[in-house]
Amino acid sequence: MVIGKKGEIYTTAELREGAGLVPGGRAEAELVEGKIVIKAKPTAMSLLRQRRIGKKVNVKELEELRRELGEELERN
Amino acid sequence: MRGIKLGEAFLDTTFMLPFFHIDVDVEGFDLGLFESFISGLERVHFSEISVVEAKAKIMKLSERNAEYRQVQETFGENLEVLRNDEKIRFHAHDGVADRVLNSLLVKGFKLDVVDLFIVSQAAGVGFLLTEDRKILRLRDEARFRDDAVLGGLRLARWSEVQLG
Repeated sequence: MVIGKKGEIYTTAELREGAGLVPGGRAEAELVEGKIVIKAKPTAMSLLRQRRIGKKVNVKELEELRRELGEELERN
Repeated sequence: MRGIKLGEAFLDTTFMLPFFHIDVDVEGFDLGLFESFISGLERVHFSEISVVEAKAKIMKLSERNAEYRQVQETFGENLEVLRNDEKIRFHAHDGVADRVLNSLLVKGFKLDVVDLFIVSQAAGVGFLLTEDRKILRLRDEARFRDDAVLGGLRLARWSEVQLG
């Protein structure tokens, strides 16, 4: 790996993919015992790509909860 | 929303749940399409009341199904990711929204308390994506459509949003 004139470092696609670093994404870097650790910073979009819960929540359930929540807010 | 290019959208609580790893049983909903929809928006808006509603929903689900406990535990962590994302904006109830809410009350629209907060906060954004039937029924009311402020708020359900 060659370090550029302005200090830029290019990693391999394999490393970037493995660390979840995607074009347009965000990352944070820190120095740990003389090593630079670069981690992908989670974003709203990355949350959508994570593992899902198997069961889906239906609209009726959500409407019912909204009604209950509204009633509770009005009572207190 | 045929032929309309959206730059910003206010999303009802239903569409906050996928960010907490919960999929919703909504007509035509597909996570990949939802991802494209979100990706195509410059700004995504949520109400602070949706945070409370989403957490309450997840708490209820956790009581019945152990699978949701992990979601309940990581809720705060994922919420922080949303709050730190420049694309996402959370709306607190302010003076402007309160004037809209009062106008909804004066006109006597039949909405739940949470609906009132969401519609009044979304009015400033101009587009609300919701599956709530009470909110969607506002479209049928001339006094909603003809109102100087409320009339500028477009309401749509997921199946009406055309991507691409």
